[in-house]
Amino acid sequence: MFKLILMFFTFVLILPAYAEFQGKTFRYSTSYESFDRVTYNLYGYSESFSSQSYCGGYRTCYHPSMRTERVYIEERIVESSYIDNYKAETRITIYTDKHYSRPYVTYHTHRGRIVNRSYHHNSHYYGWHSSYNHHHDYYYGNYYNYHHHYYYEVDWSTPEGKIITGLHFMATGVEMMALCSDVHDDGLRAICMGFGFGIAASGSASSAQGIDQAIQESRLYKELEKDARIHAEKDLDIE
Amino acid sequence: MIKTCQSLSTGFDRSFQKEIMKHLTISIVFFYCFCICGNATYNFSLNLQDKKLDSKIKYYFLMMENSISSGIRLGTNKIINIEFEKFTDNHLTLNCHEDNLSNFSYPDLNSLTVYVNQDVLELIESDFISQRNKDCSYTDLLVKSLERSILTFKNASDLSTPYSKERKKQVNRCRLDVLDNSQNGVYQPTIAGCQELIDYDNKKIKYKRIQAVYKKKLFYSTKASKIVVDPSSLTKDGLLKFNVCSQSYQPDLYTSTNLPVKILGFAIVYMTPAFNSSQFGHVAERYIYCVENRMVDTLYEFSQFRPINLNDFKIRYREDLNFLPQDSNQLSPSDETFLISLLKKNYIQTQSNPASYQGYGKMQLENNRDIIEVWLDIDPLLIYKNYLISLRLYKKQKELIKTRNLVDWPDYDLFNNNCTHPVREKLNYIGGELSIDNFDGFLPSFIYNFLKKKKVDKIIFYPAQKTLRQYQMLNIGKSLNFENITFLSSSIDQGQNKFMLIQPDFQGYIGFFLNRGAGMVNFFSALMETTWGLVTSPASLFNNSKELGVNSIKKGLKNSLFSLSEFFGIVRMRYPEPTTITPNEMDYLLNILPHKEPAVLGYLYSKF
Repeated sequence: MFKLILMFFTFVLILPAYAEFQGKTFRYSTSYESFDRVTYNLYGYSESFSSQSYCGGYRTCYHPSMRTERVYIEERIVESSYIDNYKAETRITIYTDKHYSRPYVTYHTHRGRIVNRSYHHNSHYYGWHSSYNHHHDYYYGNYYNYHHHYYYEVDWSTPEGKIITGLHFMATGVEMMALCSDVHDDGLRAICMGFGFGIAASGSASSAQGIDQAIQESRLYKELEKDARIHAEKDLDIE
Repeated sequence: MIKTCQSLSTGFDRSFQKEIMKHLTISIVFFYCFCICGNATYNFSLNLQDKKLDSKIKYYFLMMENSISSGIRLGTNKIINIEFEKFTDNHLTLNCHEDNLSNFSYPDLNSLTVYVNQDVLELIESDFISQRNKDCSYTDLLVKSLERSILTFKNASDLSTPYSKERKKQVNRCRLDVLDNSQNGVYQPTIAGCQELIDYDNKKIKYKRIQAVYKKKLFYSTKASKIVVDPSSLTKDGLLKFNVCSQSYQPDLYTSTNLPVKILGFAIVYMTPAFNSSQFGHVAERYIYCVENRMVDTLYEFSQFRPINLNDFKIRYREDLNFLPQDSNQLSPSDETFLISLLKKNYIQTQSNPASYQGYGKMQLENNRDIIEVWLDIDPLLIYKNYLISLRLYKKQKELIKTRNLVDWPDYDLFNNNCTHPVREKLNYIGGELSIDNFDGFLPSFIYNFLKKKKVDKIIFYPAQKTLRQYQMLNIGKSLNFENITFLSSSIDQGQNKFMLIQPDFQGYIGFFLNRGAGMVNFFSALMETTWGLVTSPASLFNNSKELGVNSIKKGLKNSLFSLSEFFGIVRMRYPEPTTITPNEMDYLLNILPHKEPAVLGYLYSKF
């Protein structure tokens, strides 16, 4: 009986965790230059670089030296719904730190075009336009310079995350069903088996969803990957 | 005659009792002392007083703790408190001069506390702490400043600094005093202050032993001083995180498309034989250079085309291959046949950012494979010419794939065209003392043994799981006495690998004989296993255990066969399997290690 209660609690604890990894968000990072090049090819949109300190509105505020800096991209896929008052398919936010805490600019795309751009003027961002400018020159000094490399963070919402957690749930479920065979009472054993089966089934569903998502994963991400490969290959040839 | 013999024998008995037994007892006592000292408690740590600090800062200081030289850590062996304070008028700058160190920290002698400049916190938060110039980085400066502050404390010392002439005389006098007293049965010095000196000297002897003897044993090198141990390849980013090529530089050459190129380094990479890997080891070439302001860090590997290369092949040559329309990963039948016929061919594979988890790290943890890079001290243009040899072969391979040409594709041959041949070709092209004959270049390990004796810039050792554990034990002054005996070893998870009794991993000349001895011991233990199987085979009819009956006979026979290979020492067939990573190790790999600077970074910066 005690074992059964324990299992029930495990199930209750696991359920909200399972609910959490719903939704499609992709996180990856690349050099700004690579991002700009790929968005031009994909969405026909490119930033023009200038060293002016004012940005927003129609003006762009990318300093030439930012081209080579590493940016962290979060892409949320929301098929044709309104986000931030814009009808959009995806929302792409560029962060300047790997903890995804300092958003810099957000783009919305609709029907394969970038339809909106907005800057995040918040106090803790060390940007060209902020009062931190001096600081930037002093320490930043073109420090981050990443090229043709990007990483794919495995978090619960990514396809990999879902596949991995799904498999984990399946294993837990099967394990639980094995433990249930020790329960002597027939009725309780049936309930226990039911829970075990439920967990295993939800795990397999999550895995299937993850695989499904991996297939139709972000176009931008795929294009960035391709771009990275081509440029890495190009840089090898220094003859 | 008999009398004289008797008196001689009694005399011998007496002298035996008096002298030999005494020495024997002393040596046994010493042996136990060493064993006990080997497990002496390690107390050094940096204790952050402010408990509310961000975890990033806490992990950074854990990395600092590891970075302080082992001589100071073991010599001081105390908990050092760290406080942060606003330093007025002192701005942190990347100035590598000694005077700048006082801007980072200062000691408070009364409370064993080091006050660190508060600006450091901001540097850590924003990741600028790893910024560096040609000579040093902020992290280097902070380590040096902390070391200097710690050394001002009472009883703190650096075991690696040699004695002054005067001190040496004092120590010798004390040692002689103990020796004199020992003849009267007293093992303590009578001269005032001698006990402290002797205690310190014992620590120093032990430290020296650990540094010299064990490092030499552990790191495949006769000159341990040349080797730098660097586990940073176990991090996700590796070297890529550092923007080496962003600075302005004088290019070494321009490409045909007029891009400026600066050549930074060329290393021969030796990968040791390991679990589930080539029993002969492997060699490859690593090149690092700048094109415009981008860093290219790439590993050229020449090996036989194997099924594990299939994925790489499909991704790399996606544009040139034909895939089935309905499945983007399935090759068309004609390309599939082409792919299969490649299996006996020589395949060139490049890998960018090799010193990261995706490259070396995976091998270090999954195959327990040690990887050693020898950075050669040669002219940049010579490196470039060498690079072009590899590049042209790589480009030719692409052409061959485009035209599906199998005739011109070189075959892989274990004796005439293996991974050592391209490396030998490069070394002979460089010439001078690096030109290598067919014998020295016959096996990857021979090439490494040849190179380590030459004048090279740097040797970097990327430790495997087992070696990393042993290195960490050394680092806190733990003894490695029983690491070769599997059931006593702590670096291979105490006997999880029961396949051999003694690991034949001894190094050096004596190691040659010890390894054969180990093979012999393993052979007999495997025979015992077989006998056990024979004895228990009736019992195994009723019990389905893996340790009994036929299973045991099979395992025993296999193991005895393999231990013969250890005894004859031609090719060793078994290497320790990696074991589960402990939560502590995981914490180290994920949180502390990323703060550590790769050893090659300083070398690359020095080329500007």
